[in-house]
Amino acid sequence: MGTFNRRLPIALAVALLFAAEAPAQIARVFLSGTGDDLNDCSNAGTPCRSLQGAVNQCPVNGEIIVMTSGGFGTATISQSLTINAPTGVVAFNARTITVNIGFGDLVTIRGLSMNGAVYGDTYGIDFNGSGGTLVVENSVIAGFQVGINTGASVNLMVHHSELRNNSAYGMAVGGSAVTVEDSRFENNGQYGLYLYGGRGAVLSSVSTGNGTADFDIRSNVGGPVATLLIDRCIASKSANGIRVDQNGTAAVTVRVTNSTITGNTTGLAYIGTGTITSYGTNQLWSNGTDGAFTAPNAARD
Amino acid sequence: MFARRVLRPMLTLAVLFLATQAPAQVARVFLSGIGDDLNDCTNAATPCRSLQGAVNQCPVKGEIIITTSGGFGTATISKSLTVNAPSGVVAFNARTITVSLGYGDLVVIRGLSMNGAVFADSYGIDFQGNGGVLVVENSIIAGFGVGINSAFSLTVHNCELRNNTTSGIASRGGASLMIENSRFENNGQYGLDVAIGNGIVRNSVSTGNGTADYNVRTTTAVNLPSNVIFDRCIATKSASGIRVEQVGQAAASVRVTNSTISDNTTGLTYVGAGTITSYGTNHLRNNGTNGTFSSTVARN
Repeated sequence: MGTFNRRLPIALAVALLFAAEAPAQIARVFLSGTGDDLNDCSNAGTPCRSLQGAVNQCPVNGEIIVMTSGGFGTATISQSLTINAPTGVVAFNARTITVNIGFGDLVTIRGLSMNGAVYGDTYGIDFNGSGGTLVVENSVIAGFQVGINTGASVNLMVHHSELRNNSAYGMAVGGSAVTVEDSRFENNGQYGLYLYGGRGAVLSSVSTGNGTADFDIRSNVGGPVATLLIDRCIASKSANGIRVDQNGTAAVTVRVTNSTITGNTTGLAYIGTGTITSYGTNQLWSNGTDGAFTAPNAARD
Repeated sequence: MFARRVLRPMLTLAVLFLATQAPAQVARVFLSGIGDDLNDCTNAATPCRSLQGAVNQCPVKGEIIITTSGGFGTATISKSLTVNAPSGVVAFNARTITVSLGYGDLVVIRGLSMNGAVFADSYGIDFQGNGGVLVVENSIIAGFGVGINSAFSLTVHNCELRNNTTSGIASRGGASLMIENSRFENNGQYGLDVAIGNGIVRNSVSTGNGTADYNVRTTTAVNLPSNVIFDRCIATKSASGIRVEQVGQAAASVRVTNSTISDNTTGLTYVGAGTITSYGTNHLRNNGTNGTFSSTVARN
């Protein structure tokens, strides 16, 4: 108790500071490597210690503000909220974050440094539920089996993130919608981006050094079609730069523009009847076997 | 009196909280300019002081988190790990970091500010050993003999390689290379020197380097080709913008697209039988002598 009494002056000071303007309802909670989940984390002077603690105290649609570097542990998020770690803070997380939200829910994860290599969890971020949207930005997700995994009916947006050193896939999207921008898929064991059913676009991104394929787009028997646009991307240093794998009747359709496919064992690879169509604006060169785009090229609109 | 001070009890509390939650296994260690290598650096309140100290305490595949600005000294890294300095922290290093890995190892260096001009070490980062992959990002490597010397698979993203007396990056021995969003500035000889290797350079600038902004060559010692593609790059203010040097039978081949080569003494320079092929999408002008592309190919 004595220890707490000594904290009283600063706690009081901070409390007074906020008391004047604090509304009954708050929009944000604070998280720090030196916090405590038993705190009232709506007070910047008494932040939470764990991500789950902060999620529990965060109001629906509220924001979790990460104040200092630290390791924040596993969490399950089942409501709309934003996690905001600014540059200058390493918001470290070595365990799975599960996002399980419903139709119309919105979760934003901004600025995390996830590295699962020591514990070997299956997923960095496991995004499930039905009809929700997850935005991941300014984050590194490394060393898991799968960096980001989605269920079949969600909407994923990834911006300015690194998906690397995951033992299977940087990102695995099954049947959902995905938009990726300004991101890097590096040195994942099998696929950089794995889209098995679903639709999406990848813009201004790099996939390199992945074991089996930089971009692997496929359909499964009885599953949905897979459609992907690749614009201003690089696919390099993999067994396959872009690989389509159509199983059954659901079409696998990939279009590529302004992109470079180089330094792979095979540049463009086909399994089954999928197509990789070019807009005639790509560089396909210096692969062991370049392969060829599906003829004819498409005209830009 | 001391006990009445505010910080001490807060620190004590912090230590207690961390101590009770600390798992036996940790994934990260902390590094700070005011730390101590004798600390248990898995605790954010008791970080290490030197990069080597943090490397020694970091688990395999773990992460070194730099919490405050400081100078962190030379280090040898011989296992998979990540060094992570966030923006807002100057993680300064004036001596060589040696990365010596085996096949399948992965090292990430993120956010360092390296400046070797005072001590004049040969290399900023020397990537050697028997294999592995090194990723360097968000870093500045300046003032060494060679900024990054690489013998294996190297990925560089969002970095500045500048003011090194010889080369910004020297990639050799058939290593593969992936460079993006980076700048090679004012290096003594070459911005990028690929002495046998394959790779891609995108969205990058090489300028003010003594002999050539981009140098791609083969050697007689190893009979392997060099293939490098430049996409959305700039080469300016050097004796040569892009220079290929084919020595012996193995081809030195360069392809260029969406790029600008200007304000060099010579835009495109050939030594031996190497080729610089254009996709017809470049700007080659305003050099003392522009030179010409070997040929033009259609995009795919």
